[in-house]
Amino acid sequence: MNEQELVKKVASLAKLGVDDACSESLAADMKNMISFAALSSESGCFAMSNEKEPMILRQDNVGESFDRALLLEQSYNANDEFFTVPRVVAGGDGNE
Amino acid sequence: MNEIIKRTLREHAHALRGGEYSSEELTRAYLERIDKCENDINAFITVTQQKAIDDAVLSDKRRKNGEAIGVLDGIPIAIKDNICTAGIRTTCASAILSSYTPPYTATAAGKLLGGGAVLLGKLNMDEFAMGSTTESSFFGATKNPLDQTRTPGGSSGGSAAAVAAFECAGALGSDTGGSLRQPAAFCGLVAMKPTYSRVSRYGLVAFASSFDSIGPITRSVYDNALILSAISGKDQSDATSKDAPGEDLINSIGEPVNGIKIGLPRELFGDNVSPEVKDAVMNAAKTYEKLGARIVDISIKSLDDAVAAYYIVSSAEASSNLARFDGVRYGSRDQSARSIEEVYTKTRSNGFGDEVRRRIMLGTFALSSGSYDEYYMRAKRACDLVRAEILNALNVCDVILSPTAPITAYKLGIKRDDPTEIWADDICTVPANVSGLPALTLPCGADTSGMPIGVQLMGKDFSESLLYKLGYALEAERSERE
Repeated sequence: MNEQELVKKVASLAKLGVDDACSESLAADMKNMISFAALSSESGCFAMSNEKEPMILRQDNVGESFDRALLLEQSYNANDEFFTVPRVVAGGDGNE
Repeated sequence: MNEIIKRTLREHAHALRGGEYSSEELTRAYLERIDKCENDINAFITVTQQKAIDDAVLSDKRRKNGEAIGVLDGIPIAIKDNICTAGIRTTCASAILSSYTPPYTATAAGKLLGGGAVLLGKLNMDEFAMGSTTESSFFGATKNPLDQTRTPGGSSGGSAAAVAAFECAGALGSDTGGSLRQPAAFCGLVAMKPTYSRVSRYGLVAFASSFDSIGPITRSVYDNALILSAISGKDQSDATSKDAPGEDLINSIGEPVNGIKIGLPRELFGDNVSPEVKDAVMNAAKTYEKLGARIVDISIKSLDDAVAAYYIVSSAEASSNLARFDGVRYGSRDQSARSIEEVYTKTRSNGFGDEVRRRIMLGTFALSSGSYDEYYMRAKRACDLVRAEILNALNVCDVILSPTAPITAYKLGIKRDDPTEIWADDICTVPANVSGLPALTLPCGADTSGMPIGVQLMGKDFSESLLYKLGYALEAERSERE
């Protein structure tokens, strides 16, 4: 992944809009920031890593929005536009 | 200028108690000063003029009836604009929150106002407290009252400038990586970054939750201790807050400092520290030696990595904390958006300034699946290591003395195009945030342009009374010399 692609992916995860002109300058900023934030290889924190039990992480992907009709179909109680949730404050009849 | 506004908070408390002047007279004097110099300084985002006068009148009535609440009753103060105040706009100096009025008051602010302090208004800052110059504010840069071509520092630049310009008797700010101490040093003031958990963060708009602290900026060490005493303590609304174990922050002030061991870490006196700053800080160390303290050289190797680790962890936390500003939960919604995705992206892209967007990008990158282990986890380990090594050093000395900032206040706009160069200047302040330990800054000299130099004292968890004792000793020695 090149730097501009990286910027676009990170911007998408962060819900920030980035156009082509902006992504070029942000790519330069990201490069500076990432190299600034790199810990020195002599840092003691490297010795603290637990290589035997690496963390397993999911892939970060921005998904499509949910399908409204499908959500309403599966809800406990719905009207034409919204699903409704039980009232939890005292005094309600439990189904408003 | 009405000369009473130059008095310290302690002197105001004494004068109000003795009936020398009323809270209303004092409040009006500060409001006149604000009116006169705000066009130049721009320390305030919101001035609560009528409320301040009304509260001062109420304070005078309480005093007249023998019902004064405490030492701060009737004293005019101001609060950084990332600390929530019910019914008063709280903007974080950002376009996205420019019309946000919180429905509740932060605990720290509530303790001050509940103690009778009079709120003059809300203070300018770097947007969401991300910056060191107060230039990233949506409401325009704040200027240093000592030289208006220079920055007051940041992010609590409005708090420091307001106190230095005699626009209030004292102020609250926040400190995530030095945001109280660096502006205090740049404006010749006293500031305390308290032990993490001493002051409730409830109502402080979160930037990096594991580093954020609320603290006071004042003109004297005693004033600082007065405000910190008022805002400290366990709060049911902040699970991370704690009561300090049985200590009085005021009582130790004025006690002798002989026998106290002061460590000078060589990593904080490196080539990036200007010779003038080094000289002034070493002179402060010599003053302590003259007062009977012992100076020892120490080395804390992990401090070299503290700034890098800080920027990864704080940006990661910021990217998560600022996710709520999306035009749905919080923030002024972009009206041109045509879908929910557009609401998020347009609101956030137009609502945040450049520095905030950069930090969100860095933080999101550090937390993303391909980088989490390499950046975020390593940085978290580096933070643990910094704290462990500082505490180790504090077994051989009682406090650690260093410059507060490697340089003095510089010209406005001078470093704007190179954000990471500014980041590197946080070398002296960041260790206290990364380790959660308390750190006090106070003036110790000036450079050849007359700009103040700050010295920093860092101690063990909840050692604020020791720091105040040492700070007061240096302040008294310097005022005697002058």
